[in-house]
Amino acid sequence: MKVNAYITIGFCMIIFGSLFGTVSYFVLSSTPLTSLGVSAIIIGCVLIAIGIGSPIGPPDISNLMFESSLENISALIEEMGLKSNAIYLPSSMVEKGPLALIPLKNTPLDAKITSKIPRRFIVKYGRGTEDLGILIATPGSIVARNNEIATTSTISDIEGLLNSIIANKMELADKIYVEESDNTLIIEALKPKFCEHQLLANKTLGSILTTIIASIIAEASGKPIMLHNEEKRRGKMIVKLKFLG
Amino acid sequence: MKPHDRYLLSLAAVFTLTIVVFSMYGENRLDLYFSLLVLEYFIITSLHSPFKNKTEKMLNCLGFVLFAIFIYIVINRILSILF
Repeated sequence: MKVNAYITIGFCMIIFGSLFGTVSYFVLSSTPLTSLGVSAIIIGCVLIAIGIGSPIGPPDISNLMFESSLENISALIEEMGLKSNAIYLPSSMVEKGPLALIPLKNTPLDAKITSKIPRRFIVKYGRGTEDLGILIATPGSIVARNNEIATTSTISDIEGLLNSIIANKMELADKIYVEESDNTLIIEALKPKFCEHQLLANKTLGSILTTIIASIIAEASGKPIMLHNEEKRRGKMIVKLKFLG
Repeated sequence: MKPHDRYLLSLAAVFTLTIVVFSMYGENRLDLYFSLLVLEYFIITSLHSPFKNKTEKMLNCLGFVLFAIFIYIVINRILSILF
């Protein structure tokens, strides 16, 4: 097993703290120095915990797998001639977790999803004969599935949730701000990562960061949400998402 | 700066500051130092959470051990007052 620097330094800190604490307590009889040794042991344990949570495998492999799956989705979207923006659905509206729905026709802003959509590839989501779309899992679907997301309706709670998962846990942005105006959420991500548009799938689904933001918001609010607009400015990304129904 | 680096830095800074300030006041009770370190660990950890799943589990284990030692210190202190 390849050991990363955090784990190595962590073990060194624990050994140093143990020796220093023991000598300070029994030889020097100094309480402050003993507690310094104890604090070194605690920090050593924290370093090991962080090291264990950090990826040790080659990150290229996961990138390759991810890019290939995104290219497959892009090919599918291109072949089917889909041009409408994706609708992100919460787990309460679709079987087997939150997913993204890409309507075959242009995205209807007044689309009403009356019953729970079954987990299939091509699905009928409305009452009309043309209300057909394809259901796909995005990176955001997996993030929303793997994190416990409580239902909330306030903007401050949604902002806190996004910061907790995206900024603190996944480190995909430094800070996230959310504003609401006229049934539209405006999300500003500072120093975002994975926000490039390289493939056709990105036009429909948004960037990777957008799929994660949209899936989390859909799951937290329990409402379907559609990608409205996404733009990247210097050091930040602004995403506009519109609640449907 | 990455969030976990910020967490480590704040933990180290608070621990050092506590030890320096209390030693300046001539404090010599090891249980007091330890209790403060545990308290600070829990506060700073909760301020910087959530972490990645594996890190979270490991930190919970560490928190459990520290809390057990803290409880031992408290019981010891209560017994010394009573008897």
